[in-house]
Order: sequence, then structure tokens, then C-alpha cells
Amino acid sequence: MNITMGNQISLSIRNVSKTYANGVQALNNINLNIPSGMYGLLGPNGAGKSTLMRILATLQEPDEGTITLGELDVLRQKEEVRQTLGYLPQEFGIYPKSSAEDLLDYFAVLKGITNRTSRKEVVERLLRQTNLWDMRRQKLGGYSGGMRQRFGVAVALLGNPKLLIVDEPTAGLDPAERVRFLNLLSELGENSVVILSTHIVEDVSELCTHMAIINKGHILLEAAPQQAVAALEGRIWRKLISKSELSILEQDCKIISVKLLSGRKLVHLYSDESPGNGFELIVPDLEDVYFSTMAGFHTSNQQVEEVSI
Amino acid sequence: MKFRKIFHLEFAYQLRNAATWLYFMVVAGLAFLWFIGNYLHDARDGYFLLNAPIVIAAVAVLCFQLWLLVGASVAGDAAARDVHTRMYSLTYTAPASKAEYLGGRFLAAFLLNGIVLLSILLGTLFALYFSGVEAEVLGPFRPAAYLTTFIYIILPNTFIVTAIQFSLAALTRQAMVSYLGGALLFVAAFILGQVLQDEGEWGNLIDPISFTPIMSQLSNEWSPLEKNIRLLVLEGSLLLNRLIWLGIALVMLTFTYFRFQFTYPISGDRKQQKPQQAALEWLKWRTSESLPQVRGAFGFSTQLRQLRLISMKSFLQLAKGITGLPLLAVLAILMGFALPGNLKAKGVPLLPRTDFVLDTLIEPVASLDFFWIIIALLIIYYAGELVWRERESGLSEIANAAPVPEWVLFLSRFLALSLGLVLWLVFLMLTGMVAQTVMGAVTIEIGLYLQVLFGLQLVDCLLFAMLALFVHVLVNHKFVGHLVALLIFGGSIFATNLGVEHKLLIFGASPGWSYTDMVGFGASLAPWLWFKLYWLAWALLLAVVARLLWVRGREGSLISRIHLAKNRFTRSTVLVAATSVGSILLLGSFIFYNTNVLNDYLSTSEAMEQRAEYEKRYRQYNDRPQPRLTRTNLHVEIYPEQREAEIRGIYQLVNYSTVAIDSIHLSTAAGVRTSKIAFDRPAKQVLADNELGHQIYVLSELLQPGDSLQLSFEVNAKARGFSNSGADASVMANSSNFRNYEWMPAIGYQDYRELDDVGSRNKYGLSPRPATPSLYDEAAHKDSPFSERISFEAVVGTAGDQTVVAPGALRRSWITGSRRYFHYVTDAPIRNEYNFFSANYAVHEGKWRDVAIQIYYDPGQTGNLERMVRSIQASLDYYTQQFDPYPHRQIRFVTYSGYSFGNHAAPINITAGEGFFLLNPKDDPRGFDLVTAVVAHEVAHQWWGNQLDPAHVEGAGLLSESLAWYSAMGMLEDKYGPEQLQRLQSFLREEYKNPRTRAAVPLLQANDWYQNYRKGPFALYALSQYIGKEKMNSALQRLIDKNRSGKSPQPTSLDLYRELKSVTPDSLQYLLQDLFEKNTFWELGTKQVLAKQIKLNNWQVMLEIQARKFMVDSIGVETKVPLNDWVEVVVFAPAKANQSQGEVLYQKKHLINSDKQTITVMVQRKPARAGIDPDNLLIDWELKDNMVEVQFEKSAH
Repeated sequence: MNITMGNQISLSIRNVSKTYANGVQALNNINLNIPSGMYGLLGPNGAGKSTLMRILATLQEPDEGTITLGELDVLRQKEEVRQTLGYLPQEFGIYPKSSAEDLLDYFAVLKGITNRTSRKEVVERLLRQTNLWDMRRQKLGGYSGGMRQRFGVAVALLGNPKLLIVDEPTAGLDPAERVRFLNLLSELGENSVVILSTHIVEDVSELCTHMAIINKGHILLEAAPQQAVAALEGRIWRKLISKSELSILEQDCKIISVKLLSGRKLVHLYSDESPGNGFELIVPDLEDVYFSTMAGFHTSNQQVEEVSI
Repeated sequence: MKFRKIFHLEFAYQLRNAATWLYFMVVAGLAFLWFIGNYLHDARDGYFLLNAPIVIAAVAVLCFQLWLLVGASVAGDAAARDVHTRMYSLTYTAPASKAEYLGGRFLAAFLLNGIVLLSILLGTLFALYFSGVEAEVLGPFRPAAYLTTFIYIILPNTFIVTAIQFSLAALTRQAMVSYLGGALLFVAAFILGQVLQDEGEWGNLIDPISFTPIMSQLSNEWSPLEKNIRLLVLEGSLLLNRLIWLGIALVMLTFTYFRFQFTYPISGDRKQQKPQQAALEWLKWRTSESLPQVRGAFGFSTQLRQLRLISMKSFLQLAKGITGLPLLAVLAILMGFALPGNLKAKGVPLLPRTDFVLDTLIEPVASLDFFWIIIALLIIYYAGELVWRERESGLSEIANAAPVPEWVLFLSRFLALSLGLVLWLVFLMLTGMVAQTVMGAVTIEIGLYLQVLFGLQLVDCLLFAMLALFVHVLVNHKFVGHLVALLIFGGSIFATNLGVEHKLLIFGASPGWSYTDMVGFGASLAPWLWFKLYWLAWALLLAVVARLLWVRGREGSLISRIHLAKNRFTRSTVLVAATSVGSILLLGSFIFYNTNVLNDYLSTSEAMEQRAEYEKRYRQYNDRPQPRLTRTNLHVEIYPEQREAEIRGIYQLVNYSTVAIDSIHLSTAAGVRTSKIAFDRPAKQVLADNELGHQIYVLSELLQPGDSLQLSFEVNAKARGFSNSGADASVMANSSNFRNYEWMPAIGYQDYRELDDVGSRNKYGLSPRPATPSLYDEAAHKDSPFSERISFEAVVGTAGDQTVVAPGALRRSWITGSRRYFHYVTDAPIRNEYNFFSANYAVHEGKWRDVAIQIYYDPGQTGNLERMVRSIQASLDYYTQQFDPYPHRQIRFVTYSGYSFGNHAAPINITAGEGFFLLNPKDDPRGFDLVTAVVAHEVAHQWWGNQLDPAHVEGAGLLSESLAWYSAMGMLEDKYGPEQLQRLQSFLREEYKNPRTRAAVPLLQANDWYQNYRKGPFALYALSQYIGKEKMNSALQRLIDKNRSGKSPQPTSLDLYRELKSVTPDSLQYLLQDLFEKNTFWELGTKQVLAKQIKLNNWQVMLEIQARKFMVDSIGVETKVPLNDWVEVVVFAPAKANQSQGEVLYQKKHLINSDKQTITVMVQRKPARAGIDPDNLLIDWELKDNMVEVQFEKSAH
């Protein structure tokens, strides 16, 4: 089946803020433009990713702001958004006594696939796709975490969604599953908006055409991964040091990450010029982008710059 | 240390929980309401002091009872929260021992519940001392009263209940099961305890919270004196009960300790749990090219499809569980088993007719019927499950993002619940039909089943279901939702007590419907329907609001949901909401127009206020001489279809007093239009109080003693629409029945309209007086309502196909146009109290001498006609012979629509509800013919009540009811044999059980059912056995002779006593006094009987007798009195086969004294049973020890 260019829709988030009743500000004036394709939302736990995802999935209300999906007002035309939405939440439950086939069939009707024949076909293909076909008659209560996650994927893919929101989807998958799942997502992204929230940098670096880094309710960076990496070129330095050296280094330098490597510490730091002292310049990767952004070495000026690219 | 930390965390966690404090407030509020709403009234009436220890204890158990149903989440959460919140992986693996973990949690739950229930005492203190209760109803403040309640009741109860709820929740790892535990304990306390309370100790012991024993002590086990001062003491069955249940609680906790394991809680059945190895196979993700490109189609038809699917899914989840269809089926089967036992009236089986069966099975959802309470609770529970299941399972995280509109989500839950209720009603229908078949029903009216169950009852169920769902959606907290729904449920049951009476204000309320053979649903259906339509409109509005506030996603607070709701408004929402609001307004106005404009709406308190006002204004005229009614001449037109009657009447009034009368006081009836009041001499109206119904006319010329005057009037009684209590049933298309005093004017002040009970008299500022005037209040002997003797004549017209019955002989009947007319005239004066009946009657006729016997019955209800005629004949024969001739030439039983079993003996015409004709005495396992006995009793009222018309003072019941039963006893013995007499006596013993306390006024001042219907007849019978029936009845004959005229003063029990005294020999005067003048009890017993054969045909029988006699006054003080009484000693031979009693070998009255004594008698044949007072003539509450089996000594030779 061919998807025409007319289906290339984008999601626009304008001035969205959300403060919970207990005073936690989950989102602070978020502005994002999300084009078709796979979009990575990267941030540590508690950054506000899930809140934003739920808002996009019509399940939560922002205090202010507007969100549009193509022509649709996401906050007001919820019903229409849901008709084209696939949502895989970070945590969800199932009815332990239902079988995967029955429950998927149930959701197929909820997603408007009322024709019996096409529903049967859809259910079968999705179960095969998620490799659950052989266990379709089993009770979901007996599924492992990964199988459950795949079931969730199958539900999210029902009805050929134009907006697919996947919240920390790779957490329960083993490495091989993860790769293939992400591949699938990126292919879907060819004619849909796919938003992937994650705290794992690789998820984004490998597949996403666009990304944003979010922390404490703020968007710290919005960029295309390659460009963001390119922007750091010549600024990331590496050195293997001992434990005692670290505290001295911390006072003088912009350390962005410290990793243990066979008993010693591998330090990456951000510097426009060579910090000397045996530091070597490295080719930055997305992880460096993430950490330097989180550490506050990427300024909002850069962000604006990069958005305008 | 760990224990303390675990305890502290749990305790602090729940202490911060709003639900805990909600329970606290609710329980405190309940305690307050029980005092102020319920017991204050009794205390004002003088039954007890409001702060008496037993009242405090009673309120405590009442509150506890309700808390059982709502408060289980404290224990349940403490035991199972870790599983629900999936915290168990942390807590179970922490290095705390089972004892520390469970112990800490339990102790916290126990303490929290203790705090919640301490609020009972708080509510109590507040009600007693800070709500302005007057000091007169309070005794001194006694800390011991509160302490005993706390230590003996509240504390152990809390422990027992918490332990059981905690154990159940810990073992099943589900907090909800603690609710089940609470419900089971509720059943044990409320249902089993009540059912078994007559089975001696069992009822007391099975009750986990001591509800039954304390309530029965308060109701009547303790004497008034004890109620006010006696403290609870931990002894006897209370102690045993506490020990048993504390034991059970400890066993449960121990069992839980051993059974509980810190393991992964596995849900579902284990066998199917193993994931197949295939799960670990290399994944075959395909590219998106292979993804199905099918897109959903959206529109109304999809939504309907989704509605169907979600409804079915929700329903099946609910139905499959053990609390779903299986429980409903068990309930239906239980109801089926209970049915034959319930399908009885006064122990007599009813015919297994469909309408009776339905009447037994069906109650409104908001009622106090055992089974329907369970259904209501289940509806609330189901509603909670339906609203919460998806969220609790976590599926909502996905499902909420699916393109399903909120109305489908809400409506599907409602449909699932509705489907469950429909199936419940199907179960009920099957139950009823099976029971009918088993009981040998001839026809099973399936149409009626369908109409009643699915036309009427279902509406009631659905309204409540909608309310429960709405509450759960609105509250958005499962346990609090249950609590709120339960409070609303309780509130609607007790709405009247809480002062909310108008059914427009009580959700789902309506006047009840009734169905009888004679009129079908009659006029009861229309008001029911209007009210239900009104509530359906409300239900629609609730549904709209529930849809708008349906929780979807994370926005749970009401404010954010209201915010969201703004976006959910669509055109169809507005349309539906507008339709429902419009319907509410329209239907509400229509109902209001009916209840408050067409009919006078008076709340109970307004009605009482009016009665008080009537007394305040017009009591002053009570003693003013008024002419007396001597003749009534009426023309009555009954229009059954229009539910209207018109009466034109002329009263002949005579001044029997010794003074000239200057003014006539006329009291007119409420609810009818009285007009054209005129006298046959000049008179001027000086007062017209239509509201209170009092008119005064001043005669321009005095009415001299002996002179008479005529009063004419017209009354129009038209049922206008319906009132808050339903449609007036006086005139209906198929059956009309009204009494003279309900509509027609009466002469003088009517003191029966006064408020009687002490509390309300006090409240409305009336001077205190006893509820019933004292026997020794001479002024009250002068007159009583309806006591005039009148000659009566009436022409009554009705619809062409109906027959009218009125007092007197039917002189003529004719047809004019489409209407039939009947002319009735009495041939002897009657009491001024009579009914008019009109219906399509069939007549069964009989004759006794020159008296025509007529039974007007609904065609088809023929089962008991012959039996009734025979009893009437025998009764007329016996009473005429024993007492006095029957004064009229007719006697009639007339039926009217209704399945109540009360009969009323107006002069000549005795009314009997349809139900009386549908009794099935043939199948009575006791072999007792209640129909014959009741007919005898009612016919006896033609003497006792209608000829001898007692003054309205204490002891009046002795002259009417007691004498009527005494007469019926004599008639049955004489005409039907001693067996029937014994069966009647054992029926009366069964029907009117001994009260729990012996404290009572003497029989001469009889003022309750027990005295009127049980003690009175048996005392009269005993006396007749001692002095002889002839003497006794001659005294009664003289009594009636002297009082037949109906002239003032009217007879009282003192007149009866005087006559009885005159025929009682001196040697038995003591007995007369003991029976009537004092409240005397005997305790007679035969310890053992030894017999030996002296020679052939000569046996010596030695009876070892123990006896005592004592008096109890009205507040319960016992005084022992010396015994020196004549008591019958009797020896029976062995009973032959098919006899219950052997031949009498010896029977003689002996003088028995208080000591232990041995009586030796000689008999000629071998004895078998012997003892004293075999017929239980003397008032001895222990019946069984009078007679014993004879034991044999070795014979002399």
C-alpha cells in the first residue's frame, strides 16, 4: 500500500506547561515541532517525559499551551486524535485471564476495526509480527515481561496509527528485541509521527531523525542527532585518571561524564581548547551531547540556532 | 524495633488517609442519629432514660453493625496493601519476621479501628450533652455506663472483627475480602442472631458483636426499672459469647500466622502459567511493509459495536466470579427454600398463587428485607468493580487511549450491571415458578411474572444501579465510593426518620404498587409510574454527568474533571441533558401538582402540628353538651370509574343532656368537600375552620333537653390525582370501600384526633396525659368515638355492574339508566361506625334461624365460603344461647381489595381482606382451622364491641378482644370439639408470645396486644374453668344486658369485674383478684411422680409438687406472696394409639401451698402421666414442667 505525501503530518507543541497538585512542575513552557519520522525524547527519569507523552496521548491535561497534530487540536479533538493514535505506555496491566488473541481482538474493536474478516487478519498479522502467534491462546497472566511488552506493541500498532507514542518501550526488551523493535518503529516513521521517549541514548542515536533532551520540565536541546554531534566536534576530551585526580579535576574543568574502566576512571570533559594534561580529543557521540547538555554546557542560544537549521 | 517501625508506618499511613477519618465521622454521626433520631423519642415517651447504660450499649452495637459493612478497608488495607501496590517485592524480602510484619500490621489496624469506633462514644456524648436534649430524659452521668460499653462491647468487638477481616485479607491477599468478612459477620449478627433469638442461647452465642442480646434486653427482656439502672455485667451468655468469639479471632490470627508466606502472590491458576519456550526464540520482526494497513472506521455503528463488546466483556468478568452469577443463583435458591415458610399468614398456608409468590419475593430495592439488602449491597459492589476493574488491572493505561467515546465507556458499565440484574430477576422468576409447582399451584401466571419482575421491579433495580455507578464515578475512590453509596442507600431507607418525606426528594422513591386478584394493579400503578418516570429522567441526567466526569487518564480530581467536562460537551450531550432536565422539571411539576396542589401534602410533623393545634383550639368544647346522633339518612352516589362519591345526608340529633344547647359543634373531615350544612331551624355559622375541620353554629333558639333537630349536609369525595403516598384506594374502578367517619361530619369535638404519645404531646406543647386514658378516669367513661346508637337508612347508587353493601337489610334494589341503586335500612340501632362497599361481588348465602348469612366475595375466591358459613351459624347459635340474642336479621362478611389479613367487625357487616378468602387452612400442618376461629371471633364482636361498646380507657381491649376470643373458645369447644379448642389455644400462645419482661399493669388495665389477645382470653377461660362456664356466661349476659343501650357512661373492665365478682364464690375471690386486679405469676412444677401398685386395680400415685406465687408491678419489682391456692391435680392412663392423651384417672383441685409437698392419690388403673394444672389455667410461663411421666416403685407385693 502506498502512503501519499498528504499523509505526512507533523505535531506541534506550543507553550505547554503542567504543574501537579503537589507543586511539582513537570513541564515548563515546552515548545516542540515534531515532523514525520522517528523522534526521540531523551531525558533522565523524572524529567517530565511521561507527562508529556500522556498529554500527547490525550490522557492528561496541560495547564496551558496548545498541541496540534496536522489539522487536529490534540487537547480538544481528543476523540479524533485517538482514532489515529497508537500508545504504548511505560507501565500497563492486562487481564491475566484473557488470552492474547482475545484481548487483541477486543482492542481491535475499540480501535474501530469492526469488520470481522479484516479484524481477524489484522490480529493475526500483528500477533505474528510481535512473535506472539504461537502463544496466542495462552493466558496473558503467564506472559513474561517482554512478551507483555510485545503485546502492548501489538495493541499500539492496531489501526495503522498516524501518531505513535511509545514511552520507554525498550526497558523490558532484551538487546536483540530492542534493535528489531526500533527498526520497526523507524520504518513506521516513514509516514507517521513516532515519538519515542527513553533515557537510553543508543535508542535515539541509532534511529531517530530528530530528538529533544528534556530535564526538569525544560527542553534543553532540540536537534537532529548528527547535527548535534557535529556541533560538539573538537570540544570533547577524554582521559583515564585515578580516583584522587578526579576531585581536583572537578574544580577546574567542565566534566560531562565519568565512567569506570578497569578500576580507573574515564573522564569526558567539555572544553573549547585542549585542557592539556594528557587529555585527548575524541570524536563526540550522542552520549556526549546528552551529558554535556544535561551538564548545562549547551546554551539555549545553540538550541535556537539548531532549531533554525 | 522492626515491629515498632512496621506498626508505626502502617498506623501513620492510614491515620493520614481520608477514608479513616471519614469512617470516624460516619460512625460518630450514626451514634448521634440513633440517639436523636430514634431513642430520644422513646425516652420522651418514658420507656427509658436516654443515657441509661443499656441504651448506650444498644447504640454502640447498632453503630458497630453498620460499620461492619463499611469499615473493612482499614484491616483489609493493612493486610493486603503490599500486594495491591506491588510493594511486596520490597517488604517481603526485607529481613522482618512474619510475626513482626503481621503483628505490626494487625496491631496498627486494631488500633486504627479502635480509634474509628471510639467515635461511637464521642457521638454518644455529643448527642446526650451538647445537642440540647432536655434534662428530664437524662439520668445522672455515670462513667461506668460508658466504660462497660467500651470494655465489654466496643473493645472486644473491634478486636474480633479486625482479626477476622485482617486474617481473610492477609490469606487471600485481597483487601476486598475483608469486606466479605464484614458482610459475613453482619449476617451472623443481624440475620442469624435475629432468627435464632428464640432458640435460647444459640442466638446470643452466634452473634459476633453481641447485637442480638443487647437489642432484646433493650426491647423488652429487661423491666423498665432494669433498663434505667442496670449496668452490663460480663457474665453468663455475654461472657461466654465474648470468650468464644475472642477465641475464634485468636484462632484465625494463629492460622494466618502459620499459613501466611512471604512469597510472590500468584494470580490465576498455576497450571497454565508456564510461558512456552517459544518466547525466547529469535524475534522475527518484519518490516512495516508487512504491517496491516487496515484503519478503523468510526461512526455511530462502530460505537454501538464497541458498546456491545465492552458491555459483554464487563458483564462476563463480573458474572464469572464467585460473587457474580453463582452467588445470585445461590441467593435465588435460598429464597426458593424460604418461600413456603413465608407464604403463610399467621401460620396458615396461603394458596400458591402467582401474586402471593411475587408478593413474597419482591420488595423495593431500598427496603429492609434481608434478601433485597443483599442485592442492594451487591449492586453497590458490582458498580465499584465495573468502574474500577480496568484501572486496577492497569489495562486502562492502554484502553483509555483507544478511540472509544466516554458515553460508551459509561453506558457499557451500566448495561453490564443491568444485564446482571435482569438475570437475577430471571433466577427469581424460575425460583417462584419452581416453588409454585412444588407447592401444587394450578396455574402459573407467566404474564404476571413478566409484568412484575421486568416491568416494575427491574425499573427499581436499574435506578439504584445507575445511582451506584454514578456515585462511584463521582467519588473516584473505591472504598469511599462504597461508603457514600451505602450512606445514600441507608438514607433513602430511613429518609422518613431523617425528616425527608416527600418522594420527590428521595432518589428512586415512589408510592408502592400493589396487585390483588380483585382489582389487579388498581389505582396504584399510575402514581408509581409517574414517580418512576421522574426518577428515570434523573437517572438520565446522572448518566450525562457521569459521562462528563468519567475518569480517563490521570486527571482524577473533581476540579480537573469539571475542567475536562467542558470540552466533553457536545451537541448531543446538551440535547440529552436538556431533555432530562426538561423531563425532570415537567414530571416533577406534574407530580408536585398532584401531591401538593390537588392533594394536601402534610409531612408527618405538619400533620402532628395540625392535630396539636386542633386540640389546643377546640379541646375546650369537649365537655360542652351536644345533641346526640340518633338517626342517619343518606343518599350516596358512588362513581367507581371517576373515583368519586357524593353523599347527601340528614342527621337526626336529640338533646339527651339536662341543659339547653345553644350551639352545635361540627367536625368536618379532611380531604373531602363538605357543603350545604343546614339545620331545620334558624342557625348561624360563627366559626368556619376548614383547615382543622371544626365548625360552630349558633342556634337562634335553644335546643331544650329532649328536643331534637335535623342537620343536613353534602359531602363530595373525589380522588384527585395522587398524593405522596399514592392513590387513594377508597373508590376505585373495581372496588370501593370507605367508612362513615372518614368523610362525613361528626358532632362535637373528636378526641380521637388528639396526639397520644407522650413525646409528641410534649414537643407540641400539649399538657401531659397518658396515651390511653386511665381506667379510673371517670370523665373518660362518659363518651367514646362512634358510640352513638343510630338507626340507619341509605340509598346508594353505583355502576351498573356492581353491588353495594351497607349496614342493615336490603329493602330494594333497582336500575336507573346505567346505574344500580340499593336501599338499606337497619332493623335495630347500630354503633355509629360502618362501611360502604361497592364491587362486582358474588354472594354466598346461608341461613341461621331468621338471620340471613351473606358472604360478598370476589368471584373465584370460593375456597373458604362453606367453612365461614358454618362457623357463622355455630357462632350465632352459641352466643345467642350463652349471652344474648343477635339483634339484627342479617350478618355479612364483605371482602375488599387487599392482601392484608386484618378483619374488622362493624355492626352487621364484617370486613375481610381478599387474603382471608385465599387462606388455605386445609393444608395447615397444625390441623388448626384459623378461618373458622377468626370468623367465630369476628361474629363475637357483634356482642363484644358492637353491643357492649367499651369506653376508650385502659382495659377496653379486655371487653372487646379478650371477650371475643373467650367466646370463640367456648364456641369451638362446644361446636367443634375440645381438640379445636386446644389448637386455638396453642395458636394464640404461638401468635402472641409471652413478653420478655414480667413487668406489666394488671389485666383490668390491659393496654397491649399480649394482654388483649392472649392473657385476657386465657384468664377469662381459666376463671370459667374454676367457677363454671354457666356462672361465668350468666355474668357476661348481665354485663351486656346492662350496657346494650350505648348510653353514657360507657362500660369499662370494672363493670366486667363487678359482674364476675358477683358470681365467684368466696373461696375463689383470691383467684379473681390474682388474674385481673394484680399482675400475678405462678410457678408450678411437678418434680417427680412415683407410683406403686398396692393391689389389683389399685395404684398409689405420689406427686412431688413445687410451687410458688409472686406479683410483679409495672416497673418490674417482684414481690413473693404466700401460696394457698386451688390447683388441679391430674393423673392420666397411658395413651392409646392415635391419641395424644390417655384417659383421665384422677382429676381434682387441691389446695397447694408454697412449700415442697407430696400429694398422694389412689387410682384404679396403671398411671402414665401426672402433674398439676394440666391445662395451664394459672399464669405460669414455664409450661413444660407441669406434667411428668410416672416412675414406678417396686410394688408392695
